[in-house]
Amino acid sequence: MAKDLLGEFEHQVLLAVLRLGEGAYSASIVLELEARTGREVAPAAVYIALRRLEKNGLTRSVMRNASVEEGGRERRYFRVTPPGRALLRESKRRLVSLWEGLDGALEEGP
Amino acid sequence: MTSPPAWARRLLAAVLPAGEEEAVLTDLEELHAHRLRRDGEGAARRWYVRHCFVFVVRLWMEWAVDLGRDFIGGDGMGGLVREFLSGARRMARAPVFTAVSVVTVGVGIGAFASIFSMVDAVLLEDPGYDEPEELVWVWRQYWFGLDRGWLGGPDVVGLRAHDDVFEDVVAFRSGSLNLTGRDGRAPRSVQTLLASAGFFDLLGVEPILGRGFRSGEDSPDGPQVAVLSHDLWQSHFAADPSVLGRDVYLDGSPVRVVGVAPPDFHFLKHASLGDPVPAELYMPLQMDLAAIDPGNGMFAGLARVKDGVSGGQVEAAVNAVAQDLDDLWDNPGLKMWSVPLKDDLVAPVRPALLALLASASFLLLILAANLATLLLGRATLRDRELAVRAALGAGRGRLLQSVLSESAVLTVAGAALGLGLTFVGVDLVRRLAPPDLPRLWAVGVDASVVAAALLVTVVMIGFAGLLPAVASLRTGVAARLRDSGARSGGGIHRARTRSALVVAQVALSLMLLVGAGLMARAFLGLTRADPGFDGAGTLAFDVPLDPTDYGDDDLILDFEGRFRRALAAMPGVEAVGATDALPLLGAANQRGVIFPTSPANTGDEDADQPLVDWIQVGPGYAEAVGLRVLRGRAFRDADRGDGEDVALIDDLLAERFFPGVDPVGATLQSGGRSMRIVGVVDQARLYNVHSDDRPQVYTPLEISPRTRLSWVLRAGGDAAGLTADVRAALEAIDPQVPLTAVRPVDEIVRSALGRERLSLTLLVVFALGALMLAALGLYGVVANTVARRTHEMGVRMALGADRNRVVNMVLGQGVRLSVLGLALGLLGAVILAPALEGVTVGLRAADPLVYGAVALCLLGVAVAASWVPARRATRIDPAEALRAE
Repeated sequence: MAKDLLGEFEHQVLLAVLRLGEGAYSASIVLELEARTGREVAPAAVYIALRRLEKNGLTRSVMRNASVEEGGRERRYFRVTPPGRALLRESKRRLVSLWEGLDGALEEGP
Repeated sequence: MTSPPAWARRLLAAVLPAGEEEAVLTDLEELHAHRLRRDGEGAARRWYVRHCFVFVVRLWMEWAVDLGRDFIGGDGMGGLVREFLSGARRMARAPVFTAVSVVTVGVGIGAFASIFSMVDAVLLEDPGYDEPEELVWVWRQYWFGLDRGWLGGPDVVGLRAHDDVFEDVVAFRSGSLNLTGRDGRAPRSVQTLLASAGFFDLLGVEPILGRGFRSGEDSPDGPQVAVLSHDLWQSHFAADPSVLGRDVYLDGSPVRVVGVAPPDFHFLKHASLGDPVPAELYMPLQMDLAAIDPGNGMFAGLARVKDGVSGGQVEAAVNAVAQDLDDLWDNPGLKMWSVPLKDDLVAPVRPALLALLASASFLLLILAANLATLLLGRATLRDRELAVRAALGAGRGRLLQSVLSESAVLTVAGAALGLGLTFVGVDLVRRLAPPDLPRLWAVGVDASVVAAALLVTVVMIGFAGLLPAVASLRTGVAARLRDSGARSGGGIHRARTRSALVVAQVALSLMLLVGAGLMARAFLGLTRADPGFDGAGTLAFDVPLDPTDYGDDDLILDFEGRFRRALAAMPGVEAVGATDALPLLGAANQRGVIFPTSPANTGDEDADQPLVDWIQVGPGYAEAVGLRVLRGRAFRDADRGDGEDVALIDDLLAERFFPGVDPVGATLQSGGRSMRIVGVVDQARLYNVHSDDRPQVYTPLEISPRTRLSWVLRAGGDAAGLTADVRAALEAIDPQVPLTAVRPVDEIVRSALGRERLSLTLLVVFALGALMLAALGLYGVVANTVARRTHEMGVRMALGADRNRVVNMVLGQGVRLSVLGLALGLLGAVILAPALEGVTVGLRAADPLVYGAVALCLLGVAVAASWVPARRATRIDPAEALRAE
């Protein structure tokens, strides 16, 4: 059921959280997504996506004080939960199987 | 490093969930710093502000979606019904609060729906004709400021020739005829409309009995036929279908009844045809239009434009006809124009109606704000209950249902009452409304009025209920459990919401009061305007003679003399006289006149031959109606028959044509007849109370005696009490002549101001209601603060605080809120007031006196409303207050 709740943007956010590991908080996720997709990303969209992901049990977060060099203020750090990982694995498997044998098909239009 | 704008940051912080603020804002600042390095200061700043707004909007959307899901989910409809019932039970336990709220909501909705019924009937509904948007009036436009002049016969013929543009063109005239009592019944004067044979077809109206006019029935030798209005058929003929094919006697001549118009058909006469009252009887206009001298403007013209013809083509056709006539008849500069039927009928009342609708909407807004403050107060009382329920696991949806249930109970009960009151209100509006309000008969409660009332109810539930509900839910469970005690006001957020609502109420009330004040000032000016005559202690009535019995000028003059002497002989009568045009009824004929010996003549024919209102009056009329004779004298009985024609002119003509010269003794010519000017009178307003720029000439009745005369009788104190004597005097001379339209001249003046009076009355009522509501709202907020701070004040006083300081503290809160409301209201009033200028002549939007008086009055009410709770605060017993903890 949870798989169907994952929209494209939430999918991207989840991947970014996975990639950033220990350093995943909303600002770093925004920058990561912007760097990888080349598009501007609204912090509000990331914030809300993170809330939904957490509500659905795909991520978990903790409030932590940042290091002194980073200003020492409170931040919410995220990481992907085991169900989140399972979901990503499943969606990748599906995509890969859908892509199988199609690499040539995009080269030229009919 | 440059930091992002603090205001955007504060805005976002205000909507973020508690505990999340710092994390989110820190992240945003980091991103801002990143943009600053990459894109520079301006771009980073813009990015930050934009995304703060995006954040606010997204958070609210999320919140609303979640809440909606919770609300609908849970127990579904069963839960809703349960909450509604429990809300009703709770309201029943607070009967005074409930009754007051339900009555205010009911009155507000009723008032709004009543006004809406008028707007709906007059401005929105179709007039009941086939495709009314295709109908246009066509008028002649004269150079002397008469822009709706009547068409001549050849004009109508010329317009009909443009059959590529017009489907048909109908000419009509209105008048009144005596439905005489040859059948033994009392004579009665009926409003008639004489129209071309195509009249009923043009409007697309089918008589319910018999038929309309046949083509050819409007030729000069056509048959005498009539179609009765439904009302006349019911009132005079007892709805007897056998009246079809029978003859009735109109002004003594037999006329065959061929049809009865449908009940919902009322042909709305244009104002240029007299009061827009519906005609009671329709007859074909039997004239050879083409043969009429084009100099005579005699008809109103209504045309149906063909499908797909543009406004430009209509204009071109109308202009071409005017041009042809101009060439053919050497009538220099004749112009004609057309205007859509409905626009022209409702144009004079549109601004007033819209202003009233806006006022009623303001009142509703104030009402909703008031209800919201009251409910906020109640929600405070329920805090602990809600907090306990939340702590026990009730979802937000359930809590929302519970909070909304109270406003729903109140508003639904209020709406039921309001709908009931709408029937009363509509009845009242119909009675108060001036008879010249177009389509007055169509004002009533119908589906669209009910729909408007329901829509307003739903908006009220939403506005008055959601606001407190949201304020309630935003307070966290823990905070609520902690705060809910005698001291609690339900959090700072709720207190702010209530204050904002009170400010809004004060502001809206001020705007309504300013509107009412401006109207009142203008109206006062109108009632004080000098109409040029003195209607006090007079009685006016119409005595229309039957032209078949009085076919001869001498007969008419003989009747006039006998009746006048009979009236003058009655005890108490000071003066009496007849006229063919009473003041303010605009019924005079117009004629061109010249003053051959005028020193002001220019040689330009148009300028030297003004078109004047030509008013015929009998001896004694000037004294009876209180005309002021400025120079010379009025008419006297001896003027009759001594061979010389005489005339009076008004001060307008005297100033224009005889500047610095005495016009008495000079000659006036009109239609080949010379008259000696014997006096100058002050102009008696013929069209409206406030202004008239059409000059007047008075001539004696015998110049061309008319069978339709109005009489004015001056009798000092009790003129109206003489009605029976007048009737007896008339019966003694000729029992066949009806006495109609009996009313004091003052009554004519009053009804001339009827439209203004209605607008003013309603506006004042709304404004006073608004003032009361605003005072109640302010009282509620201040009283609530006092209740909430009882403990604190007790401590202060225990520590020796001065009572005056406590009073000032409480008063200060009320006054601060009112002053803020006043400032906002004044701003709104200054912006909106100019829209009122179209409502009443003489209304000046920039009237500092009104603004100042209204602001002072509101401030006074605000101080009074805060004073009561302030006094209560000083009576707090410190020991008591502390024990209550």
